[in-house]
Amino acid sequence: MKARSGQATLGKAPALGGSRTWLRPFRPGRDGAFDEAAVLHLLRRAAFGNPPSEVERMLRLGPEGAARALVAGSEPDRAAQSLEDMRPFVLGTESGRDLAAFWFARLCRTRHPLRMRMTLFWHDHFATSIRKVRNAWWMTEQFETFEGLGLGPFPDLCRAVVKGPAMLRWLDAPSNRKGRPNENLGRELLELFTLGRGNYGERDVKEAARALTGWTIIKGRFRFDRRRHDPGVKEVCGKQGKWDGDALCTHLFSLESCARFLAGKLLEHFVGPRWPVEARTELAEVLRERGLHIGEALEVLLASRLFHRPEFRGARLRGPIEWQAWVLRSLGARASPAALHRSAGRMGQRLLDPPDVAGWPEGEAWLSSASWLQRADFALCLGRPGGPFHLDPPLEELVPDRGPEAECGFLIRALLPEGLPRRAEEILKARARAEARLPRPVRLAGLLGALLLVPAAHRC
Amino acid sequence: MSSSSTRKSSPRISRRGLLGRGGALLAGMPLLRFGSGSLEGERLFVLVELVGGNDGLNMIVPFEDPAYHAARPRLRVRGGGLALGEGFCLHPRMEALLPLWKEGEMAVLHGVGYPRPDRSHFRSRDVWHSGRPDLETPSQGWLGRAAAAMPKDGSMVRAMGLGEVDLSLVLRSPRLAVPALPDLESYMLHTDGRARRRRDARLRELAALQETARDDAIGRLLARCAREALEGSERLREAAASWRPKAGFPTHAFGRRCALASRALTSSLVTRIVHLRHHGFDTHASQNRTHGTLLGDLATGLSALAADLRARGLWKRCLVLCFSEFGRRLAENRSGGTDHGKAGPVLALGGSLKGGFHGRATSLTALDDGDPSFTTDFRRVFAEVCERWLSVPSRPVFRGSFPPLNFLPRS
Repeated sequence: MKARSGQATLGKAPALGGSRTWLRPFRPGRDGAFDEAAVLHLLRRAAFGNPPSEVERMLRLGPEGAARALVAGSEPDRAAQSLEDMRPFVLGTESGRDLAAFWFARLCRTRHPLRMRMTLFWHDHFATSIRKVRNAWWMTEQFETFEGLGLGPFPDLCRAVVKGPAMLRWLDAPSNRKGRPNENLGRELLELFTLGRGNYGERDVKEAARALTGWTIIKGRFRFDRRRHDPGVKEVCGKQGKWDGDALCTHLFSLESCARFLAGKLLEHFVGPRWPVEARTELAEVLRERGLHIGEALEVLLASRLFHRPEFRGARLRGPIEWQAWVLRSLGARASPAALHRSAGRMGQRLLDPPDVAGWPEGEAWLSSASWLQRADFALCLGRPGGPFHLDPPLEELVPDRGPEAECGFLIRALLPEGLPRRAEEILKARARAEARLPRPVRLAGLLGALLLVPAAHRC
Repeated sequence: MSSSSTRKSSPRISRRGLLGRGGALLAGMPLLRFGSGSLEGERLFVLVELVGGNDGLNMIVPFEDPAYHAARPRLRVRGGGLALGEGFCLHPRMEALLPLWKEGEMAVLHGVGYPRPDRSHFRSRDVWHSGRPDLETPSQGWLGRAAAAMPKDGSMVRAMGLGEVDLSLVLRSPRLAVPALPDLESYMLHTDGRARRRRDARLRELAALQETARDDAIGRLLARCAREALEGSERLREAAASWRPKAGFPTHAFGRRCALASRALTSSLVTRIVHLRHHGFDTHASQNRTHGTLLGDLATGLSALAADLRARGLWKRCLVLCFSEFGRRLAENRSGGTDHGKAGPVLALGGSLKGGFHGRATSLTALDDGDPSFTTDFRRVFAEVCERWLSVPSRPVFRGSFPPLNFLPRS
């Protein structure tokens, strides 16, 4: 499960076909400036917003170097080995609470934020809920797969995930047998994991389910049970064969619609809801040329003209966990992982418990008056002394003690370095002055809360 | 998801409600969706879940049936003074509900369950909550779907789960944000100012900051949600502060939840639909000790809620329904308890329902693998609530049509 195939090719600069327009490399000067604003945009989208020290480094690396560095991450990543450490804590438990808390702790610390981001991305793509799986270790293994393979070739990732015990149980693979098919896994494999709606028919689902017969779980491991397998000829999406599940997957990965489907999802996530349609064709082509290698495709995408178009800056609404991670990583602080998990759940994103097989609703669906109140609750409680989050180090240590207005300026630079609308800044500074006589910890907590509730703080 | 409904200003909305403190505070901001309409004439609904599998046979006791006494030598309830008629009596600890029964404000719906019953708590709960036994892993609840289909009213949130942190499946709907609140205070903004003047200043700042949102779809959405939340939370604070009980609510956990329900339902404009849980019904052992207490708490809590709503003139507009994920086996086990069974009675209370027995009582001799089997599909009960109480077509909610039991008046 730990194998990171494909990593050997990661270092090379991606060579590009000349026919592309949207995905042509961004050339500073010709296509705009690769300045601080451009780097901040990149860090917000591909990391979670990073400490200011990263900005300098990215500026030096240039657009392609920066994209490559984000995909490769900084080694050694101490957090990387630690999922295995979870084993004794989760073995035999049905609740995902410990795993989730553990994962939140690493989210604040990791030196490879894009990998954590992709873990979240794949958790949504392959949405599996502990409410049905009821085995925290299996869910841990699935997360480990997301982390280990999430930036490599998609075929390796997808195969490992669908053959993991968590997914097999989630989609009832063990009850899919010759003569008694259960279409659950077959359907989601086509609809949600590889091809997307509209790229297959009901007959394909039935035939895919036949190919997947015999996949089961024995002693917590994937097992192919030949006696339950239907060895006949199947026809899926225009091709025939005496397929088993593996052969079916190979066939699906080779289809053009698979690359297009993945390209669309990556664009949605990294470019935002209004990505241009032609860009999908181009990104799908990149993916196909590189054996659906996600990391390599991301290197191209994150260094492209498309990605750096100014109209896409701030065009996404941050999801709850992404929002929390942005705050903590920008401050360079940690907080109680259990409290973060509970709070993300109240905001609508409960880790390990997606609302259904299709994952979380994206974009604007994150927001309602009720969920805004929960965001407000997080914002106003985060820095509060004696509050549930136990911010570490506390705000009064993080923020240099140079008077209320300077404190306000410091927090703005840390969180929203490209600045605020002038009116917002005035309101916050006036507030800081009015509260100058309050104890510092209280004053800072309130100020941080207000800053996190500026509308711009929810976009990236 | 769509922001098309956001700027609609319905003619029912007036400035009246904005004259309160919350309104004055945020004066000058555009009118909000829930405005100041009133809930006058709207119906209230409380769904009580008896978590763990209530032993319905010891709640509505078939005390004239020899099969009952034979199967439960230790656990059987003797007739006592709470006879209901037709061979049934009420558990003696539930005396508090007897006046409601006599007034015709309590209905017993016999033998409610679902086809191909499952004895797993989780599976059975999924079925009762979703109203969709055909789905393997349902992700939406029938009440959430029904609430989402209800026409807009003046309430701040259409429905809420009270006394709980996790939103129950029954209230989930992708089209409606339903909060689960351990108490009403958690729907309030926790500004750091205790002192009123300071809090007002903080809220004004937060409101003013929202005006800096970019003028595009996301910016408008952010500003609207924030304004709704800020005003709603202030309004709730006022409502919650002025609420006084009109009956003596018991101090046990369920009694406190009932008081909370009354607070949410009767503070103007908060909500119309509440889901409450009453925990602890999984009585595998020493049932006599625990079950009586649970039923006693249920009865005293609900009778206080009824008295409170009656004193406010709202009892006629209220319906309370108590269900459990399954009943228990007919025969007691060797630990002085009962194991997971199938069907059970649903209890309905309200000022305008048709009291008495409804449906056919389950037979204690023709058992289904040791369990009294169901005589009434649970979807008939919930579909009737949708159609006749919430005025929502039940067919899309349950993907089928289920004939009413007629325990509710035709609306």
